[in-house]
Amino acid sequence: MSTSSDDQMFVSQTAKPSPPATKINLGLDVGTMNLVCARANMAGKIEIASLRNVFLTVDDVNIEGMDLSKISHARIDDGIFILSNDAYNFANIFGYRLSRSMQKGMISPEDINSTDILAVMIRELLTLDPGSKPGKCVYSVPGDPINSKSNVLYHQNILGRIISEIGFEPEPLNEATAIIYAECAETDFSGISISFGAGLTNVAVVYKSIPVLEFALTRGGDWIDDNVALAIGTIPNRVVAIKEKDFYLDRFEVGRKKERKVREALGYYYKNLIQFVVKSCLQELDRRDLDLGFPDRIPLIISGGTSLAGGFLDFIRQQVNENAWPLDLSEVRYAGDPLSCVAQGCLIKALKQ
Amino acid sequence: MIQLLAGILVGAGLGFALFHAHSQSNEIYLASLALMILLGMLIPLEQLGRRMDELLVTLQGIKTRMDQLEIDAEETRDEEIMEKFPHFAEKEQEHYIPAIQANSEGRTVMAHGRRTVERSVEDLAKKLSSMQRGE
Repeated sequence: MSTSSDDQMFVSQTAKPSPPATKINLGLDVGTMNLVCARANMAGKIEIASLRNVFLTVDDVNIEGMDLSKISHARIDDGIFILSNDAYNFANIFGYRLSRSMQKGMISPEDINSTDILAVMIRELLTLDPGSKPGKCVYSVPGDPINSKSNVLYHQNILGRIISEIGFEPEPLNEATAIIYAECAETDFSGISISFGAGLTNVAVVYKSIPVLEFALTRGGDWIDDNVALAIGTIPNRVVAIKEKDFYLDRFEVGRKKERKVREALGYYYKNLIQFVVKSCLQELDRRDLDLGFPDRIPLIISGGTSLAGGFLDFIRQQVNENAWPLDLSEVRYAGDPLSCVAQGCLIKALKQ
Repeated sequence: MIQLLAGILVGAGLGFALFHAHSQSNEIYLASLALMILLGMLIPLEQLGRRMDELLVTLQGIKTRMDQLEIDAEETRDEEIMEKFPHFAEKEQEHYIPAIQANSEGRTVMAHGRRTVERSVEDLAKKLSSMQRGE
């Protein structure tokens, strides 16, 4: 904690002066499902800390007699909110549905407390050790969706305000561009990245570290879950449970009859999502009429939780190969660490002189 | 339950009194008949309410079980991902250190997923700086 100048003068007569506080720069990935913070440690390696971006609204009756001292929670106005991982446990006890502070990659309009809850969790994640002071915090934002009327302006400004109130100097960075910064140093930060998230799919084309094209599509993992649930007549939670249990795009003959039907539907919707994203990328590249005659071949980097299904990379390679791209691609590969590469890219930008 | 029974008795009493007052008759058996009709209507309603409560408890139990299954799936997901993608697993499991952060400013502890990525970030930042300066 900082002290006033008078206090420091008094202390200097009785004890050794404390060393000057070190300025800490951070990278922050603000995702629909997870908040991930990356910071450089003393050895120059990257330390990752993450929180699940979920909460649960409870009232005094629900928690009567319970000791909240060891549970992640926040009191906002008259409400009590159980946060992050603890929210899962409380959802089980009370039989409640978990809430998210973000939807489709941006702050959720469904709960008036979303912003305050997000602020509490970000503050927790950005907590510094004693003797450190906040520097720059580069945070991820999605691109403007090209297939909906929404835009990122409100979300970006709210996050900037939250981070500056904590004491950091905020700087937004497109999440797909952050992937290029984290993954494409060997190609001089040139490449295409597609981030398949829960709420959105983000795309960026970056050449020599400069973003040439950034956009988002309002389809992602949630879109698959909702549509499969509608098609099969079940609930999205059940679809998610099957999707996350050893799922392969072309392997339907697993489990009982209902599970096989869900797997088959998942396969169709996964493939439709990939085809939609590849087609949209090509249309957008064509529509923007950009000069993409890059002298070098560039990689296509795939990231995001939705992309981790078995057979996903093979199918996207097949789709990429079946279409003529205006860019010369060297390879189609996964990001090295899909759970933290956006935060790492933000950190690299934050540490840039 | 006691409140419900009290409600029934008060309702029956009121029914008795109203009928007695408006009928302008002192025939006690008619008033008793009204009381019995009221009781006959209210007791099945109370039983129906109790059954609804039981049904709600059953539904709550089913919901709780479904949420538990969801939580189980969430917990096993990371392990399954790591099995499918062993090159990610090596880095993460080795350095995963769950930690609890101390309380401050009106909120309580929050569990963080913490780990270290064996990668030098300074060189990447320097390269990005020089690229963006056009060097």
